Amino acid sequence: MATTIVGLKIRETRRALGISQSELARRMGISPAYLNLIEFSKRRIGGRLLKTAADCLDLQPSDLDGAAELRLVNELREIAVDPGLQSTGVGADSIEAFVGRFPEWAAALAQVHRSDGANRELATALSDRLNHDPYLGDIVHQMLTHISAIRSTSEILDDIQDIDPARRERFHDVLVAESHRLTDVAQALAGYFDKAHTTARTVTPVEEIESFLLSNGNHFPAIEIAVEEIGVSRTVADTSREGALIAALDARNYAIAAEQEVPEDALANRSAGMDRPLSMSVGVPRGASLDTLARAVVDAYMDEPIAALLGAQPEPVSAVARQHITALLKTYAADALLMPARPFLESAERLRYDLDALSRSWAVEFDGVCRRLTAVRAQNDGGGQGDGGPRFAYFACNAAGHTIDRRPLPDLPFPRHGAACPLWSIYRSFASPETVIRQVAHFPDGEKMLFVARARRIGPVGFDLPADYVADMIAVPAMNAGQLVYGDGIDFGSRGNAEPVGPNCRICPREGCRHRTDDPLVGRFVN
Amino acid sequence: MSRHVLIVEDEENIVESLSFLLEREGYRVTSVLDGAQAVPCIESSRPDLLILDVMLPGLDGFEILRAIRSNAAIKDLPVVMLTAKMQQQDRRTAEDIGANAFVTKPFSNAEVVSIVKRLSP
Repeated sequence: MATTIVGLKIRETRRALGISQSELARRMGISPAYLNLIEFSKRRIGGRLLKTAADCLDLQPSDLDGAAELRLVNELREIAVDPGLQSTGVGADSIEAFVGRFPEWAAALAQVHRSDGANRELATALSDRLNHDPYLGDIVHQMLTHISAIRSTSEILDDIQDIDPARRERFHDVLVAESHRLTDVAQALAGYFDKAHTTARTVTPVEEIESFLLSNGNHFPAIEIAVEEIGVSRTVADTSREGALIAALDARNYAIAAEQEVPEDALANRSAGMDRPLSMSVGVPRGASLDTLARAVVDAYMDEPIAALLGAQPEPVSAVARQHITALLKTYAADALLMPARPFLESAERLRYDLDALSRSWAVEFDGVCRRLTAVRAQNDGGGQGDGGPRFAYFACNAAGHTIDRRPLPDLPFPRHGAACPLWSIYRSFASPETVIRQVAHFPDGEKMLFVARARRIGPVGFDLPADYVADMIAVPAMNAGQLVYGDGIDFGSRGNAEPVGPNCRICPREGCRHRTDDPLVGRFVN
Repeated sequence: MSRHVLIVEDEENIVESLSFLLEREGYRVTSVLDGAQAVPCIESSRPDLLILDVMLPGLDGFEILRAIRSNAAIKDLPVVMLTAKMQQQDRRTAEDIGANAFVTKPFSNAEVVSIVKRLSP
């Protein structure tokens, strides 16, 4: 078996080096015909001749003896007899040729097969765990017991007419009692899966971040308080905000300088904890300079509160998610600095959540306004379902449709990766940048949301510079739309402006949609 | 004298509906809720048929069935096993030990009644 590999390997190496068969035969001191037989596995090669061949090809004999390839061949033999692959016509007779000619591909195939095997084992272990979980077994037993009592009793009530009234009443009581007990068991079961969902599952960082945001309702009181203590956020949207931010930086030994005019001594003093330089472009728009100042204040003041908040999370946070969440909380703190909750909310209500108007009056970028709206409403009513104003979700994507930022709502399924439904207005907004477009999105489950989207230019603006856009979108449940300027004149009724959309193709049940790009994940759906 | 059915089942509401149904068919029905009391009760009351739940506090249904089949005085008692577990293994175990019939929860009343009538007419 190894011989086959050796012959192939000699041939492949010889060809790669550009040596003819007769030349190699001459160097090895054998006839070309004999080398030909070796190369085509008709003759074994070993011992001194193998060493000679290796020397002539500038290899070690161990490179030619085929031990590594032999392992690979054996692995591929297993693949060749895999019952699931028989329909492909793969056979054991071509394995050695495959390994000899395409060793990297052969290794890749073996690796894929190994990982497929590991995944199958994992799936089996998981389903075994479900089958043999004593708690689940017990709960299923309880459910079947209560259902038995309900079924038997209701059959009696349905089939038998001549039951005396007291007995009949007794059976009705049994029905009520058993259905309550069944409800309790069913709730316990739901709770079990909920718990399994948050603790036993290996979560991806994206899921961790999502769960972090949802469990906190996109609102972080500890950050709000820490930001207020810096003393900037008491000022409203007026010119004093810049001054207050600069004063906060002064207090931490920052030296503000125009870009490329950072004094040498400021850099030198940095390590001594003296003047820390903050370079800013001269003549940047006010929003951009406010943003730079706010982020510098966050860097100077907020490390501790953010670390404390992360440390206080009930679920452990993985290292990767911790990085992302820290960045997210820094952005949150900068937004809170520039748009203090109470005055911002008052102004939002006054302007009926007109995003452009809010962006202008607070001198903050459009995305900042969107993010802040997802946070301040929760503060107003403690995160509950009360009358605290509209509940906002925020979603941002790049021109490739990839999700770049998200502040979810529990009832709005924003995709975690990749794109959502192509019919969402956020994707249309790229066609008319810097213009707000609205949409009543009608989901397959009947839910209606008001979408407000706008594409925003990013990066420097100038002649010959590419115009790159990202798109921001807020989503509000239809019931709240009347409080927004964007809800004006929209008919949310069944024959109104609502447009059928989906979550994304994988989980969308709409059959016959001409925008479908992926099969549904589960079964066939009936529209 | 009417035939006597003993129900060994810890769910009182199931006992109640089964008792009602079988009494309407002319059977005399008694019950015990605790598995540990089942065998002594069978020995003293000598029922004509036993309806036996598998999952019981005290002693489980399979143990009770084993005790019945190895007790010369009561070993021929017809036994209908009731179970909420649908696993094939349970059914095989019950058949191996010598259950006469096997009813899976949630059962239909008609099914239980017809089995009882067949085993103890």
